[in-house]
Amino acid sequence: MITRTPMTEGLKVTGLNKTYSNGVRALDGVDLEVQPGLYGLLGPNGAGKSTLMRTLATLQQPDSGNITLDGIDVLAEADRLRSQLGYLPQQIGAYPGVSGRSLMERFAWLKGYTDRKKRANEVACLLERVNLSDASQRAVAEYSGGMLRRFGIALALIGSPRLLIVDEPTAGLDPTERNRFHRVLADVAHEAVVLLSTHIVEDVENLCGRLSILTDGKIVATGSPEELIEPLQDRLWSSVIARDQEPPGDTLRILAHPNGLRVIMQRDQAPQGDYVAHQPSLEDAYHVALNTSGKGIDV
Amino acid sequence: MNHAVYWAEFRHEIRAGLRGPLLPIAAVVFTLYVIVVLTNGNMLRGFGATRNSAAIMYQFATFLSVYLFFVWAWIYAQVVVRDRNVRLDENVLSSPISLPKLLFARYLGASVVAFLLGAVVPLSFFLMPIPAWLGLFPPTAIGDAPVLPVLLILLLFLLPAVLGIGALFVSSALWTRSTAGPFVVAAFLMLIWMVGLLVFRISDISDTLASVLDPTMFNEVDRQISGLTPNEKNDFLLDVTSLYLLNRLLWFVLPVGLLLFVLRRLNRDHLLLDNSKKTVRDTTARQVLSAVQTTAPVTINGKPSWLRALFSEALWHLRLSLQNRGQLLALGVILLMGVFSSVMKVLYNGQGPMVPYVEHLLSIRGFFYLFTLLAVAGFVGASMRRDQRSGFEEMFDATPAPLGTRVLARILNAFLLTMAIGLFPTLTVWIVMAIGGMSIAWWEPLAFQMLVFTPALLEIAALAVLSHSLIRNPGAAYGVSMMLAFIAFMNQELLLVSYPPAQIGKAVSLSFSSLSGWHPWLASVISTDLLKLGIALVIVALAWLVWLRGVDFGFAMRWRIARSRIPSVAPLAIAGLLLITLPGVVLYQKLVVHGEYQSLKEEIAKAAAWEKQWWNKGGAYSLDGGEVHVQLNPSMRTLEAQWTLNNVQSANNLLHGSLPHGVRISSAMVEDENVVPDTAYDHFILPLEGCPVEGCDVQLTLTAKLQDWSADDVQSWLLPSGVWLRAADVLPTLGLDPDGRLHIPAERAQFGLPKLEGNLPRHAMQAAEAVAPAGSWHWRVEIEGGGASTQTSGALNGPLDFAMVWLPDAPEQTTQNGIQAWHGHEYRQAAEDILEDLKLMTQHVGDLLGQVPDVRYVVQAPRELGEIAQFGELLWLPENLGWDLASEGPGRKRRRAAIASALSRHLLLQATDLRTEKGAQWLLSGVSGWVGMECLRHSDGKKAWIAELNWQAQDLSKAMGERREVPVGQVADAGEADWVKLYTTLSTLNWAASQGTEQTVVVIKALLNRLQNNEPLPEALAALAGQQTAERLLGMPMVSDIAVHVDDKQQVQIKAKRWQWNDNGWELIEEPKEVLQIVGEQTQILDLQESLEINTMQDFIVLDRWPSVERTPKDNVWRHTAKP
Repeated sequence: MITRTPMTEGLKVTGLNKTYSNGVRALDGVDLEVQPGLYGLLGPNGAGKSTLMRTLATLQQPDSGNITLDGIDVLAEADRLRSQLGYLPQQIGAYPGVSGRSLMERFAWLKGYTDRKKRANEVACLLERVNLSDASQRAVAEYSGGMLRRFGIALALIGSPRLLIVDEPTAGLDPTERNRFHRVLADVAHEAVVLLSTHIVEDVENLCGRLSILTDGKIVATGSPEELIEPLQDRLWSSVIARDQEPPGDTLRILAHPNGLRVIMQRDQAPQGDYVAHQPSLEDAYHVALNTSGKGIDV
Repeated sequence: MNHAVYWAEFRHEIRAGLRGPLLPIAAVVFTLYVIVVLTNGNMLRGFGATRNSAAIMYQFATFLSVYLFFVWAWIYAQVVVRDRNVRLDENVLSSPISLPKLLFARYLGASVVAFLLGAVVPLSFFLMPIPAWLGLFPPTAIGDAPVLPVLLILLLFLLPAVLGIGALFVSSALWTRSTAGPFVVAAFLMLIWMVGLLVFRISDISDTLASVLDPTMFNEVDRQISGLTPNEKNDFLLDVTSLYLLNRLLWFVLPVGLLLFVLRRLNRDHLLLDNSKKTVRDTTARQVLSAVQTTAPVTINGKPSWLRALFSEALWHLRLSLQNRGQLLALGVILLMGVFSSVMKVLYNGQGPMVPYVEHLLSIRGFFYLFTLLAVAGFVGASMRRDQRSGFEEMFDATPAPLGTRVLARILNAFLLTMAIGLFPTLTVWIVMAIGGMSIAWWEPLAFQMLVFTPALLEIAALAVLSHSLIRNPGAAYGVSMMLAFIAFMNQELLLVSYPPAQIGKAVSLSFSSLSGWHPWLASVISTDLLKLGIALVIVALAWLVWLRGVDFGFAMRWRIARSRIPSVAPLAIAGLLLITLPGVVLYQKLVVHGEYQSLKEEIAKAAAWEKQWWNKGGAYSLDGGEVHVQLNPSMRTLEAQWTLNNVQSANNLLHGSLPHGVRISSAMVEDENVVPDTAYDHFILPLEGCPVEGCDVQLTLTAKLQDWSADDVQSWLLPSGVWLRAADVLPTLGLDPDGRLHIPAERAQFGLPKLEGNLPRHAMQAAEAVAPAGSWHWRVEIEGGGASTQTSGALNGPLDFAMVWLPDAPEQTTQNGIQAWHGHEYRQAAEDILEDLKLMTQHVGDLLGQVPDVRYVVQAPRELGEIAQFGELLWLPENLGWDLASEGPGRKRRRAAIASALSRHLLLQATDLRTEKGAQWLLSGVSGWVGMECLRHSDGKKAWIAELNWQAQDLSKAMGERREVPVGQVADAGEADWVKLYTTLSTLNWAASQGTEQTVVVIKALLNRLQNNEPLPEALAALAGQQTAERLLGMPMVSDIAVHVDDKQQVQIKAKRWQWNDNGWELIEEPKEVLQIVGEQTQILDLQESLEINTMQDFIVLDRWPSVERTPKDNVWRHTAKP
């Protein structure tokens, strides 16, 4: 059903829990409040991002909790949410034996574009938007990786969704494609809630006004990139150590460096040795959040 | 690198193959299926071999491999595609391993899995003691566990099959880098098997080619066991014949060689599986990166029409399915094979071209039907799996279209696709019609396919939809859906489920006659179709309930979701249940309450109860004749008949009779006094106490209102569209029927019946092939129809049997030599041929027996409605052999023999007034069959005679082998089983050959005289032909195997063996010491114990001197052109 509801509340997630039959607790009391615009979701592998995305996309039922979009109870009215949802999963493979336009048309009628003329216009418009008009009659199976991602976002954008969920959208794209993709997302985010799940912290830093960091099924930090970075000002220190030198035990991050290893420490004061002040980034904030939650990842 | 990695790959392939539900499902279902078939199969009731005999095990194991090919295709394809599916292909290909060795190790691992699957069926035979222990059949029906035969089938068939066929699957998977290759190979293997079986074997072109080409080895197994006696079948060990070795060379050595060659030439590039060569060049990357174009999106106002989305979705899938190259290829193959099969069946039939007829032209029969069922299961499965692509599946699930729209669209697509496949044979008919210039209404094949076959295919399609909705693992889902299709086909062959509405996946049974058209069948066909549609709807409603949406795969969650969908699914399920219930009730009423359908169990129980109640109350009876007056109303399907019997005498003051279907006695009078008949199990007795010495006059008033539908493919005799009446349809058959008793000892024991013996006087029995013994009879039939009344009458002196035909519209009439033939419009030429043949055969029968049959009318009767027979002056010729054969070809000669046999049978009946007494069937079937053969020899020569001998031997082999209707007693006591007519014809032929035609005729005439003097047939025959000969003709059946062959010294030798039936099956008895050598018109005796000097300069045929039946007449013939 394609009906417009005045956007008053955005996406609200409260107390979302999900435990799989093998005992893994994928979501553990997740709370989120997302206003229109781009919202980033960061987290290590296995943090529960995909479970959260699929739950929001009505592909999975939570054990408990609530989800509302502009006041719509997503769990009770899944079809109503779907009419306002665009979903692009992490990977889409090649769909054999069918052209891009034909597959777009199919998605369009499944999204409620049952009027042939309107459907054709919507498909043409979106194909143009992602620069696939010329290749629209070619088989989807023949699209390159970049074309497939663009095609995927075109599918997700059918019906001008209020909630767009994109999972690792730029993985494997070259910088140009990635840039193009960012602009499409930013464009959509003017009118909709765009939830971007990614490993690439830089993407979130560049695109998202707000973000949450998820680990072990819990939100461990939420805020704008600036808000998350701010507390780290003057508290991070870096030094380059020899490759065979043992880093200090409370190291925040260790990065590869041409002369050995760059070690980043979080201290109120500069540690002893050749440490210099380090300008904090969102990636540092991400690691701090994980460490603070007690679920620090292997540095 | 050491071999540990390959060993690990081998073990990993086994573990991966065994993981998942396919193996346990197949193991459990096939084991249960084998047990159920062997426990309940009607075919095994009278079969001399044990239920777990080696021969049955070989046939099951090899035949089921047709299904296994499709499962194996999946298993072997994983050797190649598994890495790609989990995106590890590049890792594997870049590792420092020998790729050929790695793939070969996996191939061997997959072979272990395939072997285990294939071993399920043979191993399940070891479980047969369980149903015997449970008392489901007598313990004597099973023999020792067939340990050696099972080991042999595993070693000689299964092991080379999995390695050879598996090598083909792996090679094709490597070539196509997908599962498509192996499945195409599986389809071709099935086609080759069908060609071997249908074209080379059944069409009798070359058994050798059939055995060599058949990848399942079924033909070779069948060839080896077809000549065996039941006893031999129990523990038969497969022979390693040259044909077997050639077969294994073709399907094991060459494929493995091919795989080794492919692996040797394989390089990593080929397996990279990317399609970069096809990838579209992305030119947009180089375009100036201006701001992203933001054309205003189209917004939707109003409510979407999900119904329109449903149709768009269904047609989208259908278009993709019909554009798929694999499916087009399969449809093309079906078309080609269908055209070939129809042309072979109709134009180049082994018995001559046939009159074009829609059922014959349609190729969707037998194994083609199996191919079609598997095609439906496979193609529907492919369309069900189409969206299962990485990411797309989730995106589809996240669309707002209601699940019902998507599910119903997919179901609609499955049904439309199935209809397209189901209606495809119609195209073959149109092509064959164009090729052969045939005149059949163009819509007939279309209507036939639509009404008869397509509903059954929809059931299979629905099962495939359910399998793929329920089972997430594609391999298991394909395996299960194809297994269900295969089981549906097997049920048709084995009649495991006999109640027509319950026969899922089986086409509606009907025998379409050009005389009555669709009318007799339309109501039952539409009811059955609606019921099948209802079953399909209920199955797809279940599929909707369990349809996967999203990523919650756990049972608990699916169960919860399924329950939540009940309100949405309920209308579809209720519609399905209504369609099952309403036609189901109607069908039950028509088939069971008003009809003749009974399950085998009920039939057996009824026969036992009948015998217990009536048999010992039997007594000799006689009468002088009487009058019959029948009034019929075809449009109401009612009858009323008054039957007066004059001077009825009965030894125990009881007159027995068995009632025809639907007929009841509304009143009975004995000497003008009302009496009440005692009726049960369609049998009645009338008390005749107080009758004078010369007997009583009995008046029976009979009524019937037929409301039944046929449960098989024989149409009713009384319909608004026509009446084909024979006396036994309206009148009770007086006396007791010895054939109505149970004959199988185990079944008799089960119901506490004593050993079968003839303890009643022969005059207590029914008249042979008549409703009442000889007398002076007058009959009259009045028919109210078409606003007018017509009347047919006749009189006869002899056993009471008559027939008449009425059609609302006058049929075509052809007259020759004063004989009138009534027939359908397209049978004018056939009618002329038949009248010509009748004249010829009348003359030959007259010459032979000294009495000229008197036939004035020939009527075309609907297909399967009885056999060719003479009733008074009327020759009853059902379609099939009677009318379907065109003028050319040997089939016409077969028809001549059948006509002559029917004419002589009538003469013998009239001359003897036989009851269903000892030896009656030998005289009526054997002697008349021999007369038919003799007339054929006189009219068409020796070659035609030998050809007919071959056909009859083949028919007998089928009756005794395929249908498992083996004799279970003496020929003298045998009833009207299929084998009796064929057996007695051939055994009498041997007997007649040993003494010459003239002497045989003399004996027969003398025998008729003695029978007219009321002498029992066995005694009369013994007196005339000798005690020993009579015992051989009427005693336990005998078969012989005599073969003319050339030995190592290039000398012509004759080998001979002989078997006789005993209580446990065929037993080897005394070898023939003398054989008959028939050279031209001369017959001489060859003493096989003396050194033979056989004149090989002339054609000859050798037969057993005893009245046995030759198993393989082909090798009894010597053609001098074949001289070494």
